[in-house]
Amino acid sequence: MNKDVFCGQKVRLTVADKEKFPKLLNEWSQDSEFVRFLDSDPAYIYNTAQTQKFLEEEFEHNPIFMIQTLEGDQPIGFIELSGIHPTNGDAFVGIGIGVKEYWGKGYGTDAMQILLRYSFEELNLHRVSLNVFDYNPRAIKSYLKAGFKIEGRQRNFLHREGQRWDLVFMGILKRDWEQLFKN
Amino acid sequence: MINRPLFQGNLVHLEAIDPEKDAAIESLWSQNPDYAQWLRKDEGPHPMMAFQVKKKQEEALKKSADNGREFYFGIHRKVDGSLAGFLRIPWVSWSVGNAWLRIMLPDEAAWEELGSEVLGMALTYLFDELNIYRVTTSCPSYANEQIAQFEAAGMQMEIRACEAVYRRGKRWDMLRYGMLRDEWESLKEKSQ
Repeated sequence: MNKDVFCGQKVRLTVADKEKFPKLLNEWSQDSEFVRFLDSDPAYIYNTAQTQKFLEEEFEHNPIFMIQTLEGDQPIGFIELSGIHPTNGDAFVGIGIGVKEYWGKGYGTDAMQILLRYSFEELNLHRVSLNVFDYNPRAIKSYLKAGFKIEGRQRNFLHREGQRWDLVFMGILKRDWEQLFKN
Repeated sequence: MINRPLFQGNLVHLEAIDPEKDAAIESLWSQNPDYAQWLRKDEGPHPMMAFQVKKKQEEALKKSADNGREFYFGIHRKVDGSLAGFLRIPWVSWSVGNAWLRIMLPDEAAWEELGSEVLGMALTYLFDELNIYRVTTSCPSYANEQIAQFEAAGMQMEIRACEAVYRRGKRWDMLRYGMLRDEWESLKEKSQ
């Protein structure tokens, strides 16, 4: 019972600071690759006040966390739940690792593991869903490692760089997570 | 052809939503949880009072006027002008040509009676007027009539979200259907 719910092997999830987080998000968003992995809307640069307003509205009722390294306490990204449905017991997870040197090294997977544990053991959700673009195979691999299954694709969902890309839809049920990772 | 009537069918026609008149009717429909589940995104299905529905309808119309990426219509029966449902396009992403479609009919009987025509009018509007590239819609796996209509219209099931819906004391999958522009064009060619 004493285990820190928000602590993993490489990262911890912390409260998103109202002043620092918008500034960090804006800094990371200067890299359009980060933005293009995150969002289907056209890549764009917002100022800090706009980002702050968006975060206040979007996450008034939804949990959003900074991802911070255990070694050095460096904020490297964020992870959030949205669309938490009280009767369906479903929510969508979104994650972004803004510091590129931490891509592909298990930090995102660790953050996702923490978030799933929180979702199933604290929020008592039945399932967690996510969307990912098929030009992001690194993220798909990380989500599969975290226990998500591919449940389908929205064909030709995105149009970027003169090409159409699918949106990959993934989900994980509580009972599947428990079988894979509990005990 | 430019003179093709986009808003007129054989059984129904489309009109602007009038919250003064339409809200009371939709409030009655919201007593059906199958209908009510689509009225509030992140809440369990429950009936809404007419003034709550009116506020939602007014907000939707204002957003539509402000952002130009949402479109809403009332569906009216031609025989007596009565409100039969709503055709909602709650999201258009112009940069990639995607749109989300939500047809709101009060029950499975209405879907059986009007679904085919309303879906045809919706797809015509989306592809031939809004110039959309792909259309997405969804329904729970218990909605047999909707599934039948989507598939009869040529839409493909793309996603099955396992046990994503809890209704009627059981877990159901949420199904997402999609249609691409070239599929629409191909269907049109075959029907000519």
